[in-house]
Amino acid sequence: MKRRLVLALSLVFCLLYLCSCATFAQSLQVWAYDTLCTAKVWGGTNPSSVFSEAAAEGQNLISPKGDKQFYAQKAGDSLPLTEDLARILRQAEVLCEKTEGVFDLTVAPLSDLWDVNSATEPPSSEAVGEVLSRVGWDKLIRTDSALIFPERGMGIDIGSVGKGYGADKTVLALKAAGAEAGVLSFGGNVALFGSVNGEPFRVGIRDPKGSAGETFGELRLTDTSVVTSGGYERFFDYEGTRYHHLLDAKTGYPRQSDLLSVTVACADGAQADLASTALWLMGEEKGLALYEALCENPLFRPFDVIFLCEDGRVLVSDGLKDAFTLTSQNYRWEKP
Amino acid sequence: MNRNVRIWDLVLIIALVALCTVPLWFPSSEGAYATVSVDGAIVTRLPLSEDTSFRLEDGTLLVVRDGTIWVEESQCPDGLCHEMGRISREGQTILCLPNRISIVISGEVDAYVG
Repeated sequence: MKRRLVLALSLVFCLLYLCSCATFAQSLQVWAYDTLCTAKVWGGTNPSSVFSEAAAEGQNLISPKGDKQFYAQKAGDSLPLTEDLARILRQAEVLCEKTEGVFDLTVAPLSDLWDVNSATEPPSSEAVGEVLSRVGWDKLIRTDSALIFPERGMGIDIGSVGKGYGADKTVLALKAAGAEAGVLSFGGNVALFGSVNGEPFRVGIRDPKGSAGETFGELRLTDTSVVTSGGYERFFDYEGTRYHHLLDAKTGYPRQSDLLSVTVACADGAQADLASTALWLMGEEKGLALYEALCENPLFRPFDVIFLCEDGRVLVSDGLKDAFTLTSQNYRWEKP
Repeated sequence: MNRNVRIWDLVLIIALVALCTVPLWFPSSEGAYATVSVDGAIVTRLPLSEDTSFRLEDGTLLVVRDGTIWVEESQCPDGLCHEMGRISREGQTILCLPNRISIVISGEVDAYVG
């Protein structure tokens, strides 16, 4: 009798103990989009293979081979448009117009010329001028089903947009497999869904002036994507000048911006990526105006932004006021 | 015999209760840090993994040791912050109302952007 009581009590304690530990997360990773894609996923059937497959599949945004770029091999070459790609390109087109061509997806040949990842010196101005003639969204012809390139050597690069798009697709696949919550990071593009114990996830936003792992702020969010753009991410120094990867498609040179970084939170990861890059390129004043204009634009889903200004001010849009916490004394949060 | 069983039952129950509290014995994970603010403005962030001490402008002395942080010396009249003792786990706070100092423990974030 006593033994039974002891046994019962033991069981109760064991159960209590297990409950207190909550569900365990699975840590997953796969190499895709030329970067490491990681995830923490709670629940779901076989999340590991779902994750790998969906992450790989998202790479096929512009071709079944997973290309990140499309280049016209001859004048008149065309890129067939899927529904997803057409939607992304429509947004890119709006951004190109509103930035007066500073943001332009056809910057691909210029990015390849600069090759910021491995270059040690800038290209000659002749080379920049020559390649610049093959850049310009307005030269393209967009039909309902294809994007037509009028000149050989023109092209578009959807490398970074692809990561946001792929993360979104992977979230959908994981949810369909019954996963309750997850944190995905595709080379810095973060996608969040669900929650653990009812708590939102915590996303640290890197301090561009700090060392690795240092943040200037933190967001408590879920069911959204978060993307940050800034000239500090990829660059090289030559004769005392810094050359970063965010090029002005009008001039062919790295764009000067008074923003250190722009963070965008949006349910659409591809849009978050496009918008954060375009807003950073515009700088604080024009960037804020662009943000307001995009909020009114029906082609864009509602989104929120955090501008980190060069002079240390942090601007946070209304939708993130409660989710954001400043974590560095080097910056100040300006509340209007 | 009967008495013996009861003692061992008790021992077992106590052992199980003790086992349930295991997660509470250990201080937070290595990534935890204490955010120290005065008047709402962040003054510093101290990682709990490094033993250190930090003196605030008003003379308040904070000490970090063995993954815990506490107020060692305080200039405030009531000394409540000193009495709040050591904190180490995520979400715990020490408040010093007279001096408007707050110490909050937060853990590692789930992801980084940028």
